[in-house]
Amino acid sequence: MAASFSIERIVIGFALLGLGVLWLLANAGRIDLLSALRTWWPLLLVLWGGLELAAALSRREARHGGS
Amino acid sequence: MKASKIGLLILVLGFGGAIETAWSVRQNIGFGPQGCRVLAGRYYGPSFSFGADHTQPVSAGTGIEVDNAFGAVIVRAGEPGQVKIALRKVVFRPTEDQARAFAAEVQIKSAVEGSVLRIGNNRDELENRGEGREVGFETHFDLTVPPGTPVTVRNEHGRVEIADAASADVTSSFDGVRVERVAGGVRLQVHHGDVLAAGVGGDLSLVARHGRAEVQDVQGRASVDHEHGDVTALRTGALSVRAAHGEVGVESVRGDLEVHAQHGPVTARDVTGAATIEGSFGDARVEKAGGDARITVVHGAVEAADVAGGLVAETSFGDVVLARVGGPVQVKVAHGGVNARVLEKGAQINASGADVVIDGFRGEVRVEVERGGVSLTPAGALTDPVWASAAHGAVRLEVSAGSRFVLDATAEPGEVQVDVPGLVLTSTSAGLTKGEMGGGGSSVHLQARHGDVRVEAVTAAAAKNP
Repeated sequence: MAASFSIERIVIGFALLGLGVLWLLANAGRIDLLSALRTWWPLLLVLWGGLELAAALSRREARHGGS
Repeated sequence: MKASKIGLLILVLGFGGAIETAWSVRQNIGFGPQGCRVLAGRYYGPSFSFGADHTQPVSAGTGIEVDNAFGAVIVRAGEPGQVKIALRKVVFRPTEDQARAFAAEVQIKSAVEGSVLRIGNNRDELENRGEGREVGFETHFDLTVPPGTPVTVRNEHGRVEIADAASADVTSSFDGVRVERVAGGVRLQVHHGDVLAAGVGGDLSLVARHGRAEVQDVQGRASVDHEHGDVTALRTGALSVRAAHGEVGVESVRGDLEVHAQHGPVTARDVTGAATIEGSFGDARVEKAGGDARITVVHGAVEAADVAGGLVAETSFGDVVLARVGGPVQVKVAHGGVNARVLEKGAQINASGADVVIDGFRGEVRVEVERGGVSLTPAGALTDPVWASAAHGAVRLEVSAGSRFVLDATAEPGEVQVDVPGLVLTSTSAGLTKGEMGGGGSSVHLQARHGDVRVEAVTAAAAKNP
């Protein structure tokens, strides 16, 4: 299956989503924003890496499937 | 790699870096009810207090050693046979529950080793652990010990109070120390805190920096070494003081007094023995000394009154004022004068810069003055030798009836005036006069360079200078 989506847009989308959720929870007094961001921001790199790997595998399958 | 990917990577890493930086800054800078604090102080914010008690049986004569930090140590006499330890823990945490949980881990440590009961807490263990490093907590000890217990305390950042002990040995910093009614010796080392030692039955040794030091009612010898603060000593045995950058005030010393002071005035009253004072950049004053007095000051005035023995005074850039000295007087002054009353055993004075006035002297007097005059009035009939010389000043001598002496007076350039009934002049010329009174006796030599010489009868001088 070819990669028909933009990985960068997905990463940015998840980042904005995550930032919004954390900020909302901080404003509601549930969490400490800076502490949570400090703990969870590397997850963006993990997510991005996972998406890149998935896209790379998908491209390889598409090439083998095509040939 | 596409430019968009590179851009996103830089964005994500930049965001992460900003978060990490903000986190590090927040750990070291805080904002709270006391404003912005730059240092990461742990003793900050809400705090909660909790107590713990322990009673330790001890045999007679057991001493106690207390090791503490960030809290007070108070030791008082209580019942024999036991030491009661009360520990008040103050924990700085945002909520009481968090503070209580931490306080439960702060323990009293108490162990008898030989003839000593060692008392402390587990602060070191807690501070070596992760959370303990971040939490501020105070440990305040309130101990009641058997009467006559030797007490040793090592404390910092907390006051120390000891009363009714057999002896006291205290090392403390960053808060005050108060030791009272100790039967034996007391040894104190205090930095950055005021000290009071009162009612010491034995000897006292005090080393202090940065604070006020007060010593009272010490039966034995007292030794004080203090910088950057005032020293006050009242009713002590023989006393030795070494001080810098502070005032020294001493009263009622039973024995000898020795003071070495820099950059501060010294006042000593009522010393039964000898008084020795060395000072700089501050005046020195002695009132009532039973023995000899020796006062040496650089840049300061000297005052001494009611000294039973002899007196030696040396100073610069200050005057010397003496009253009622029972023994021989020796004075050296640079850039200052001398004003003395009632000297019983004569005087030897060298001065420059101001006048020398002696009113009421007995015994041999020798005075030499540069850039100043000399004025001498004996206590009664003049029968002892007098030698007075002034450069750039006048020499004046008052003589009362019944005096016996041979006069030799010169003034060059200047004039010699003699107005004493009964004084027979044997030779007069310009600037030189010789004579004798009462048939002759001791030698009176008066010499003025660039000044006059006047010899007057006491009644004549009183009339001219009522």
